[in-house]
Amino acid sequence: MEEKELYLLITRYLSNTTSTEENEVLADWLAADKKNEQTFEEIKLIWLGYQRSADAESMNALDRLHSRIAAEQPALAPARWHRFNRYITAAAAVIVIAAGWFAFESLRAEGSAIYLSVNTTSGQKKKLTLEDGTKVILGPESSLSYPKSFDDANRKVSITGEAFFEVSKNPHRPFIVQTAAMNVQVLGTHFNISAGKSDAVNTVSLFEGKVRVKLKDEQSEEYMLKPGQELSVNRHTQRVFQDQLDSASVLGWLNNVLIFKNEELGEVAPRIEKMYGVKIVFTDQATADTKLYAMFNNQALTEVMNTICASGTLAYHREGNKIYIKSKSYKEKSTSTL
Amino acid sequence: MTNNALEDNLLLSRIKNSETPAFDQLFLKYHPNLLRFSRSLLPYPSDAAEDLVIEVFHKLWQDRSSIIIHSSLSALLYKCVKNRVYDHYRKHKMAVLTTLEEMPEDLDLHYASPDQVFDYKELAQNLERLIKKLPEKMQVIFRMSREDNLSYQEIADLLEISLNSVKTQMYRAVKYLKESYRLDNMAF
Repeated sequence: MEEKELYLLITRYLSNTTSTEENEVLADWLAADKKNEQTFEEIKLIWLGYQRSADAESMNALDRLHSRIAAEQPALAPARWHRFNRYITAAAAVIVIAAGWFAFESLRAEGSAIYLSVNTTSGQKKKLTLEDGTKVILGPESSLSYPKSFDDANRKVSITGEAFFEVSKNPHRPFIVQTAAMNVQVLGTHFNISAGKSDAVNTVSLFEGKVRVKLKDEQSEEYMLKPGQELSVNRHTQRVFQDQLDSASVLGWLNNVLIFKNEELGEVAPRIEKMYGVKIVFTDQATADTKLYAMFNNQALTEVMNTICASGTLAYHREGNKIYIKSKSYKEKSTSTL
Repeated sequence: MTNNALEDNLLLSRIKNSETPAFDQLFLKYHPNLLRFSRSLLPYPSDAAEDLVIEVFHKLWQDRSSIIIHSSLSALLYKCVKNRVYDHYRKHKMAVLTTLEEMPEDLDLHYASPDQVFDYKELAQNLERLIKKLPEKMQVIFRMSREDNLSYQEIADLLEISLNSVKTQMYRAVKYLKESYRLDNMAF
């Protein structure tokens, strides 16, 4: 049997689509030579070893679809509306834009270009398309500064905070993102930048395409990133870390995904605050020290809080934008209703 | 019925029930490969390939109560994408896809040898990266078969190439992956 027939027979066997006769042929072949067993194992490894994973691009596309669906059905009966809550939370940022974008625009001249800026508060996300077609999703507590129209030589923007970029291809006009610690030059891609104002470390994570990163203070140093890699720079020490990226953690904010891996509640509270625009108050240290192992995928705040308190040792109540969490065993002078 | 088909049927019945998480799950399951398929048929860059795939899922949601699956859901999804590609060509008066038959190049293992040694433990990640190195059409065919469980005949019909071409592409892909994986792991 020629190799082509053989390999395909093996893969079809592994997919459970072979007949009894074919199985016998395969068994005979396996028995004929020890090397055949090895070949079989190698093919089995690559055929069965896969795992589906949705990448950022697909998650983005799903977000876009959510907003299209939601836009079509504004007048839903209350019962059905509840089911669409999940869509709305994810698409909220986009809908806000569609329904009359409320941007904090300030004009600032930089060189010959006039720069606009867009800001977000905590719990808020914004999406915009730049003059060249580049799509930007701006995370909470972030700001993006961009020119109304790009000049001929290159396309420069700057950000603090968090943003996800889908840069439209143009080899003649490199796209450059400036943060406090680095300049990221882009070659047609999808990538995420995390560069919060108070962050010591700025990180760029690449999903597709190529980026070249230059450190702000050392113009001679250059790093090329490939998809699946991320680069972090410490603003103060200028130390650089290059790593493989864990896309679920990096893009958590994009899709309202929160992941806590055995972390203390006190440590993770800021991420909850940022995503939902609330303030969390711990009434005692024990509560803040409570460790949490959970993943929340685009859920309403109440569901997140209920899950956190589901273990039975914690309780919370909400007053406007403030959330108070306490240990149930904590003794208070006054009674409080939950 | 394969496991995949069972899973799809289950998702579909939940979608008919307007369960949005099931819809999301189906979307994330098939979107990556459908997008690759769409892109392989349309000239790039353009947003058409992306929009097209989103529209297929949009329609699926809109018509969810009336969907009846004849063969497999995955084959149906691919067919929908392909139909829209044809519509796009007709609308833009482009010549209908002639490049499909032109299956490329023998993969030279010499070039394929690892430019970086993988030190991840995850087999799936390794494989994914190798698969991404396959030529575009070969990669699309490989994923249609291995990930979306389309038969060789279904693939041949969708891409309008011969059954033998599909088999040859599959064989080459399997061979490449098998050889590349072995090379990478010899570095351990």
